[in-house]
Amino acid sequence: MISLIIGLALIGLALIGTPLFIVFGGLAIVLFAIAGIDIAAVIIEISRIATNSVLISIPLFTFAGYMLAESGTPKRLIALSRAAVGWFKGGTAIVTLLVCAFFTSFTGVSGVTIIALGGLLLPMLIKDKYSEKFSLGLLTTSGSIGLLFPPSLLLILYGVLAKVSISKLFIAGIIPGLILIIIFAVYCLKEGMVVAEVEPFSFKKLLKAIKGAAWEIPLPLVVIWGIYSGTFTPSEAAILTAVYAFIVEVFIYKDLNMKHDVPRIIRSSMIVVGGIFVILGSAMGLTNYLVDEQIPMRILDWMKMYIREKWLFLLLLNIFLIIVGAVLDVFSALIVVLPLMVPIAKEFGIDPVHMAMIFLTNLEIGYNAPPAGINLFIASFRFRKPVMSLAKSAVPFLIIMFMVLMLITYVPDISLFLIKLLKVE
Amino acid sequence: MKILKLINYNLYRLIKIAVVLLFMILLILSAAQIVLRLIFHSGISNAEGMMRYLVLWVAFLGACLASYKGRHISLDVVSKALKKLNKNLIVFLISTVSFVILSFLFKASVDFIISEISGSQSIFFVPIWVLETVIPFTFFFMALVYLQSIIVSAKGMIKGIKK
Repeated sequence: MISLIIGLALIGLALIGTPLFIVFGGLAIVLFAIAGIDIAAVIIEISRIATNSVLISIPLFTFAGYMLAESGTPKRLIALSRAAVGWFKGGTAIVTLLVCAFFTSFTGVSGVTIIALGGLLLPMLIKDKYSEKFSLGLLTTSGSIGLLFPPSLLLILYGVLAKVSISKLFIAGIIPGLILIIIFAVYCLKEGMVVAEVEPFSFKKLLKAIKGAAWEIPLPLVVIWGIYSGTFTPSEAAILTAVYAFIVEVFIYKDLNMKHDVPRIIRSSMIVVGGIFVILGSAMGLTNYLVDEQIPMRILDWMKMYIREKWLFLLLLNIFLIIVGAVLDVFSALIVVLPLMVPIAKEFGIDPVHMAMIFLTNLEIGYNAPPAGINLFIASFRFRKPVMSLAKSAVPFLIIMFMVLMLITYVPDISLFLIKLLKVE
Repeated sequence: MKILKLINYNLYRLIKIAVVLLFMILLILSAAQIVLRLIFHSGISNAEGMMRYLVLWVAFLGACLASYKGRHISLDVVSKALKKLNKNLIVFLISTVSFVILSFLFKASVDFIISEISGSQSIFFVPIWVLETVIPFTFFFMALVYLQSIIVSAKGMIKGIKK
């Protein structure tokens, strides 16, 4: 009874806007106190952050993403994609998709994509006569479209929390991510029919754009090749990416100034990282307590009374995760819910890598879904439009995402094919 | 209140500098480690351990900055509407709860550090318990920030009632 009252009080506090790490930390303190465990145990969990060597990749990839977002990279990549695919109807919308996917994979789903690119891409789409509804829906949902691609922060966090090889997750995300982009692209082509005129293809222009972005093009390729070939661990890939982005943007392109821009970018990116790490620290104590108390197994026993089929479990899992994603932010959803779900999914015989793709695609949908999908609020702030009108614009894209989610859920090989083929360990 | 504001502001400025310096050290140390591994097949001893603690420091100092700037991850759907009704009351409630929980976390982290002192190993001649002091420091600074917020919002409420 006491636990229920405390639980409800903390839900109330979360709803009125109390930082989520405070809510999780408070809940952990109360539960530990009730169980007669010293609350220093919460701090032991926090200190374990320093024992995990993979976590180094989070600040470094985030820093690299912010360096790219704050420099001239968005303009150069838009110019490159426009020269490559902007010459056919629907091309500009596809440019939007590709550039947003690139940026989200590097910056995580922290809203940087919409903030950094929204102002550049929206006028381009409107100028090409795409409807405002389509343009806003595309930009809003594209803010999370790259999260299955390496080196997505969420893939790293998933690997850390579920103890799955991050190299496997990086490679496994490529096909599901591409399928999502291809289906989005088909929809963009259909909508692109409204475009009256397109610029003709120019090889000279393409060459110029490739030259312009020559230092940025190798970045994702180096990450994927380095990890796939076993030359680098994900942490080393993060170090190289951060150093590379730093050298390229400060000393080669000279877009960013060492004295003013770099310290500012370090601070902004570490504010995001700090926000994630304190949630990670406070929630780890909480989830470990719940796992120790056999809560996942109790949920599993209860579920087994009603559900025996794997397909039904997967369907209910999807519904549950979309709701979680639409109510909580993606990081909290991942950190709190994942440790409880992994043992249950294992019991139903779901491969941990397959589970990762299902989990993250759900969060991708929840991130854009009303009432609390954070992307809607970031887009509302960026484009000065009401949240509900953005939610309506996002509906066709959410339907596509849901279709892809079903494919990913019920065809495990979409997630597992590449790691089996490449024998990634 | 003025003293508290001054302490918080100066600590905030110090953290701003520290986070940049520590991040640059992390970047240089980690890059040096990779270069040594790839070219000379060797590395700096204990560098990886130090890098892990540097991550803890930059992340927790980043979290301190997030507290000062009010940029922690929170659910703001309901709170936005409630703040329109009575912003000071909501801020007062959130800050009070945060202050209380952070005080508990601070106390627990001081106990944790004390328990770590005896028999603590060292990395680069720095005892590990020293490297872990960022945890109580973070909770201490955050608690101070929320204490300031409690006082400001309480003053706002009193002003509102008087009006």
